[in-house]
Amino acid sequence: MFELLSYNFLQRALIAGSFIAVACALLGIFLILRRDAMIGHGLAHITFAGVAIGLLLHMMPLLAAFIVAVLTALGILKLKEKAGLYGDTAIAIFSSTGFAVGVIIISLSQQFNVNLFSYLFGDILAIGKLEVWMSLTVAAAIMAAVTVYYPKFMYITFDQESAKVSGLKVDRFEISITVLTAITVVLGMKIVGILLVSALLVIPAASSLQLAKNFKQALIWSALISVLSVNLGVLTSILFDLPASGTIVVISFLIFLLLLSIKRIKS
Amino acid sequence: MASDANKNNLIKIENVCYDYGYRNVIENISFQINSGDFLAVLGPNGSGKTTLIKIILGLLKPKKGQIRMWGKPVQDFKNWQKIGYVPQKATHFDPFFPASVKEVVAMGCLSRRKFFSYDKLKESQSIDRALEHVGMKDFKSDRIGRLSGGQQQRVFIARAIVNMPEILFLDEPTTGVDTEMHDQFYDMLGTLNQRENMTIVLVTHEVGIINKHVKQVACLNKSLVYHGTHTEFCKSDEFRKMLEGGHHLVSHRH
Repeated sequence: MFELLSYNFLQRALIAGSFIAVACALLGIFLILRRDAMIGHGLAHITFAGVAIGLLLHMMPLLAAFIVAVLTALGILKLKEKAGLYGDTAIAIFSSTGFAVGVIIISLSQQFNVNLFSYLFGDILAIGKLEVWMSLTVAAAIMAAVTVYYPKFMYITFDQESAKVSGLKVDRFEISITVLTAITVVLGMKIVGILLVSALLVIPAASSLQLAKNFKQALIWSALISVLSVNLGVLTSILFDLPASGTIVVISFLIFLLLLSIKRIKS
Repeated sequence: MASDANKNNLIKIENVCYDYGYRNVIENISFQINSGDFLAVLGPNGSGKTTLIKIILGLLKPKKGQIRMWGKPVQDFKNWQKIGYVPQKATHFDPFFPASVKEVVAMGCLSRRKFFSYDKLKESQSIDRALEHVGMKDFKSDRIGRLSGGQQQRVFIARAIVNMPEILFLDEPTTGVDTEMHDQFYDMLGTLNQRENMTIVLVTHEVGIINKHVKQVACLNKSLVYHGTHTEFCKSDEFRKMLEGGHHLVSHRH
């Protein structure tokens, strides 16, 4: 086991995985409390189009995915605001259309290969040095933003009207949280893949909400549970020769189940 | 004398109109809120009370007319720490929201918090003082969702007064508060008005709240049907009609 930890690929996976896990977990708390848990799932589908464009144009798929995800996230906000659509309807429209565009581009470029497969199902053990640095930088920026601004984010999430009267810029928050989610989804995609990334955003946060007595605790517990799930998941997958993405998600679900049961028994 | 009157005037509502497209909600309302007032805005459901408060606070833009706060148009107003607000249905939040009483009251401090001059100790003292005012200091670490409706409402008032604002707006604040607690609740507002010289604007559809603490009354039914002192209001036709007819205010008297 300790021998395994000396491998560079594993160190990279655990370090990048932990940072991304914290970013996902912090944002997940806000998404759940805003009843926006499915936005991660929707944006993940859209990033598929970004990955496809990246592969077609021979540019870095992660970068293309960032651009597509952020632009679409802003589009979802506009559609909600201007067309008066329910949030989940806007997400459903964009996510299915994004995935459809991705399928068309992939068929045009005839690159349905292992590379694409790694984006769909994640491939944390194959994460490259450049991707590690990219993940660390973006995840650290998200962590810093949430740490500094969480009281304002919390106020707007809890009571938007009073927050407005307190002079807080609610519209700016809406944009920030959606853009940060889009960026986080792209990072999360590298660990567990497009199809499972919403689990990283939602399950650790939902687990922490079973324990937390206040908001600060909710953020801290969510981050810790997420890091534990990713690290345990990666190591278990290597020991038992299982796919890392699936193992991470199943372990985080088991932690959720355990905490839910403890809460039930206590009450 | 005139300058004194101007100095005392906090908020001026000038010919405000609002409609939701298909129906008028507010027609040409004008009045002033002065320092030290304890104003009850009364009116039946659908009379435009909440819409008016939202217009005053800049949450809705009037179709006509304007609001001046401390002499400035509301859209240019920046000193939001001078205003405290307890919205209607404040207690209708997600009961599982993981916020402690202290965190909820701290939200009120954010309007004055500056990035490079954040005084944690001073903020903590303000939170303690606000909670003491509403008698909730012992509940500081409790989760907000676990308190009773009345206790939650007290916490929201603490949040609204944590900056010791000059004016406090409360929209239907007794919703969800046990009837036997109402007197205690209004006594608390009375203390803030008298001891702290905090101006109180209270919106309600209950005529029963007209009690010893209320100094002025504004009756709304789309337009302003009555605006005057509490004593005059109790002798007025509008008061009689409200008591007899269950909130059917039709006459217009300015």
